[in-house]
Amino acid sequence: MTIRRVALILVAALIAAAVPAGLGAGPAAGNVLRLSINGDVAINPITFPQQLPTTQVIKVLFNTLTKYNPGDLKVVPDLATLWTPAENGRIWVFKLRRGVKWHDGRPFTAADVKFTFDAIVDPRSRALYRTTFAGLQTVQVVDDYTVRFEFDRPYPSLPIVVGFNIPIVPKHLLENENIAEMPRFIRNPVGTGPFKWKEYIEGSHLTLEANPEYYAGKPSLDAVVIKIIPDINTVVAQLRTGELDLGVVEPVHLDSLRAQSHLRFQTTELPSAFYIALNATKWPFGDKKVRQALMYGLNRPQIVERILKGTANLATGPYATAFGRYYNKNLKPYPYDVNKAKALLAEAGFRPGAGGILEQNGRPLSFELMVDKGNPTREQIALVAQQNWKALGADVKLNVVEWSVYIRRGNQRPGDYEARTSWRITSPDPDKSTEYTTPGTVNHYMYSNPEVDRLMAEARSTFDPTKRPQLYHRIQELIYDDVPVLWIFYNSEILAINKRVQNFPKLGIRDALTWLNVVSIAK
Amino acid sequence: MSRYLLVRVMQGVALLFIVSAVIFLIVHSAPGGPAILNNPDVDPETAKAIARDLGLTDPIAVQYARWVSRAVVGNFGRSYQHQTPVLHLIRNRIPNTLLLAGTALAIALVLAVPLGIVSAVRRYSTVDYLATVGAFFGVSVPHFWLGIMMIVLFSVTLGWLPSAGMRTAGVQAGPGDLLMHLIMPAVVLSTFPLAQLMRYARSSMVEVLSQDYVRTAQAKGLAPRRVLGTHALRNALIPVITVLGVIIPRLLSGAVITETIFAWPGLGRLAVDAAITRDYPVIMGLTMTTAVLVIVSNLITDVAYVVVDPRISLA
Amino acid sequence: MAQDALITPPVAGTTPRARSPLTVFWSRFRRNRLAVAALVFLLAIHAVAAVADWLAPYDPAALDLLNQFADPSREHLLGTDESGRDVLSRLIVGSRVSLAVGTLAMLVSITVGSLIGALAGFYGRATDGVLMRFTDGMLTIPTFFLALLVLAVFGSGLMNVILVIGFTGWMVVSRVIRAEVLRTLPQEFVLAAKAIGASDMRVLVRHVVPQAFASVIVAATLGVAYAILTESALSYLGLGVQPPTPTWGNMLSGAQQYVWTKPHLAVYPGVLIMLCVLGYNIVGDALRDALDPRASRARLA
Repeated sequence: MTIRRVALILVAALIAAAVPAGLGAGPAAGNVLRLSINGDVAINPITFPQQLPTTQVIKVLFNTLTKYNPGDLKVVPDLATLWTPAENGRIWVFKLRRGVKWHDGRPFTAADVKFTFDAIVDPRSRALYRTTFAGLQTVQVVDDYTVRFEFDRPYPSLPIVVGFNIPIVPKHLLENENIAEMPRFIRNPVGTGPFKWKEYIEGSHLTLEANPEYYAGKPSLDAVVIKIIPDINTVVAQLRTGELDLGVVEPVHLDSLRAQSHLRFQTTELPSAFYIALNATKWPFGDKKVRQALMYGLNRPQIVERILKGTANLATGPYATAFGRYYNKNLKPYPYDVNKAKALLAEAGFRPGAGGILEQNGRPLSFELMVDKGNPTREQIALVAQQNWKALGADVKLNVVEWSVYIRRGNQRPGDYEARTSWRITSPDPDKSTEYTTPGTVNHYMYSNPEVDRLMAEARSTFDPTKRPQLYHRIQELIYDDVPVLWIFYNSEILAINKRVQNFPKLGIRDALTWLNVVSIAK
Repeated sequence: MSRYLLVRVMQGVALLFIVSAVIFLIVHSAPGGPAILNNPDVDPETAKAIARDLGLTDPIAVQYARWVSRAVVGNFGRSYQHQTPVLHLIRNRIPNTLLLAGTALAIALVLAVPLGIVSAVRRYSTVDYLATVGAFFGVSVPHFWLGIMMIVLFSVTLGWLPSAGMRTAGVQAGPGDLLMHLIMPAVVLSTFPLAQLMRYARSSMVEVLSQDYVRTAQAKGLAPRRVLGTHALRNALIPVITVLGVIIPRLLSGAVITETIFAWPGLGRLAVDAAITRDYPVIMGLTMTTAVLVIVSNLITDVAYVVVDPRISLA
Repeated sequence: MAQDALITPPVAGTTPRARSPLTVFWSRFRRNRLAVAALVFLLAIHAVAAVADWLAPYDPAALDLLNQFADPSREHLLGTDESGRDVLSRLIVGSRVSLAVGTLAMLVSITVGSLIGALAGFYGRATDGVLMRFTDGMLTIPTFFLALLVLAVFGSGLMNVILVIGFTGWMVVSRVIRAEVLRTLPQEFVLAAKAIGASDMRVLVRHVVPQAFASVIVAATLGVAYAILTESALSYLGLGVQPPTPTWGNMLSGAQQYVWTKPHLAVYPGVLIMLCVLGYNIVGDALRDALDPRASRARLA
């Protein structure tokens, strides 16, 4: 029968083709670092489409004016070597590194820096970080290696801010392009970074090869391969098999990966806190006592220990230890104290009502907690909050929603929610006016304390290196007492790293990617 | 024949219009809008400007008319997320999906037809029993679970096969490398059509074997192999061909899950990403692509039907 | 969806009317011992689902973070999950949600499919043309893509999941019903009913639909199997019924995270999904054999 014959031939062909490939699917990747991103990229360094994967790849291909030092996150030179303020930080002069070349061989100069910032503030560019530079008045090329920035008010944080997702782009390739779309540039992006664009197989991987003319010397690695892997379980599998050299994993994966002798782990605290926001415009969250009660009544130590497997620290406020000297270490996390919580609710006028639910003037303490769906850790935290607060006499309804719904309802002022889980990842810039001042654009929970408003405005234009931290410490004390949101822990990132990778910087993955030139592979 | 083909093509074009209108209406009438407008880092003013740039502030009828007028000349627009032309995205991924789905279909056909025939000829034998039970499991096991179990077993525990992707990234590798990557996803994707085709082949062979002309042939004393080969097989294959028309869309559906588990760079994963980020141009482009694939494969099936079965004419 | 299940080739023919059809059917069905076993299993699991709240030893939502991943014990017969919830209770309560999704989605597709098929077959001409072109159109979109698209844009609550699975699974039903209607209409008893002035509705409901019953029941059984599998696949993409409501699908998808260390958490819901789908497929297949005279003729041969 012909069908049988065809089948035999096919099977034979399959076997024959498989044998030379060898049955081993193991590593053997040579002097190449293999990491993963969770989706496709579009390398537009102004608009950042496909946000997270694009951002990660851009950090390897491009440089920023400053970057953050491994370990202490201090601002250190990158494309800029020296920066000096004038008029209390309203004017900044950046001296640029000499001898830096674009991947196409053209020299990098001050004109590129001016072009980049002009493009960001131009509303037609649709730049992702336009609002960060809303106060920028002029960028002036003083000479080929000097740029002068002038703002409408003092901006002491500028050296920190320019190190965060503000890659410098080549003027000579983009001046006639549509910046919002860059149809030509995204197919062959040109940066100044330690690795240059070599190959992009959509949906599969990118290969970036070492830039021999990198300003800090030729990287130790020959290339960086960035695989596109959407499913975190596949990432975990590839870390185990050695098909990936590093990957960000969740606390839930630690138990299974810890037993792997070829892996080590690096946990980095990010300048970010995870919290449950309570909308002050919704009853009864306008009352500080209620907010404090929910804080005392939330078993945060258990969340950190059991759900995060001890990989994070309890938060005292929005300023994580990653904010360095701006972090107020005198504050201690709210303890878990059910009695205190009940007492506060009683003070706020709540009495036991029907079914054990507390009531204030006949109105039951019942509210909705909105969570974005798809992340098991966040869903678990919401479940714990629901259960803990039930013990206080609150009836909490969980609402697990799609990301788009979560954003649409959550990111308006005031937010269209009663309570929601949330977090923000920012640069280590201590200015949190947008989050905690009355008109703050991302203050969706409508926190308002005139004293905080005043101090925040004062601090953001204070240049004095001893006075500025003191102001932020005072702000933290006020916010700590007001509890506008219930901070739970400082976000940490767990990086599983194959032991063959050496000199990997002690930073979160985003910042570590700016230092790949120092990373090497054990021979 | 050519007249028939013309009519079918016209019907196909009409279908494409219906499908495009329905999908366009569904995705554009949903609340929320595309992900690029729901980025917490984009300030509301910029988000509004982007919506204007993309023409999303126009009435939906205007938007659809604009889409149609461009689509008919082959312009499906640019992806919001990938910032590249939709056609380019799809063209890059179609071969990968066709390779995966084609291999799965080949595995299914190569195993299903002989198994189905053997089951039919040796009805109620151990082979028949095992094949039936196997087929039931094939249609009852969740694909994603099977895929993950295979990764755990063959990649992590045994280390035989690469766990994901289409090739070993960053090294020069030949077709052997591709094949190693292809085995697990193709096997997972083939379970369903394999089971379905086998049952089809079996029942249609059973039916053919009971037909008079086969029995006559047997009575005439023809060798059993000859009876099967010349008389029964050809007739039994006809219904198997028709079921292909049902199996092909099903394979494309199955590819969505399989490609996500195995990080296979095909249309299925593009579809998941596009749906979740509401990348309207990509969603529309994929809808049209899959619809064309299905319409064309149905047409081929029907033509093959005529070729195999001389009793049917298309006129 | 019926088209995805193990279909034996569609056949035409008339039912022999010697004995009561139900007796014939049952005597045929009973002979298939595998199918009887599957039927018993399905009845049992539906019984469990019906009294799930009463049967579950614990509140399936009750967390106990001090008792995560507990091994099976007398307190927790199947142990606890990542949040210290009782796995057995979640499986029991999850059975109700999963079976409800399966059954309700099937009802939606049977209703829509029957309606469209009956109208198309009964009125013919333009109605038939429009409805059948619409059906063809639906069939050209891979249904899972459509389901994921709709759930991604409209959100994936329990109701949406049921409706989407239902509305993407009716096309084959409508074709089967239409074929049955076309076969039944020219028969004498229908013509007679029409001649004595019965209304369209009456003819359709009293004379035509009962003839299609056999096909519908088969499609329904296979439809439940399809719906349960689809819910689990949607759960894998995060678009199924949302936690904390337990379903077998989202339990299985959640257990993926722990597949390296706690594989048993994925085994329980996986096996239940498979057994249930298997049961429905086996029963559906046996029903077809028992209801379909051609198949039995082939078997007798």
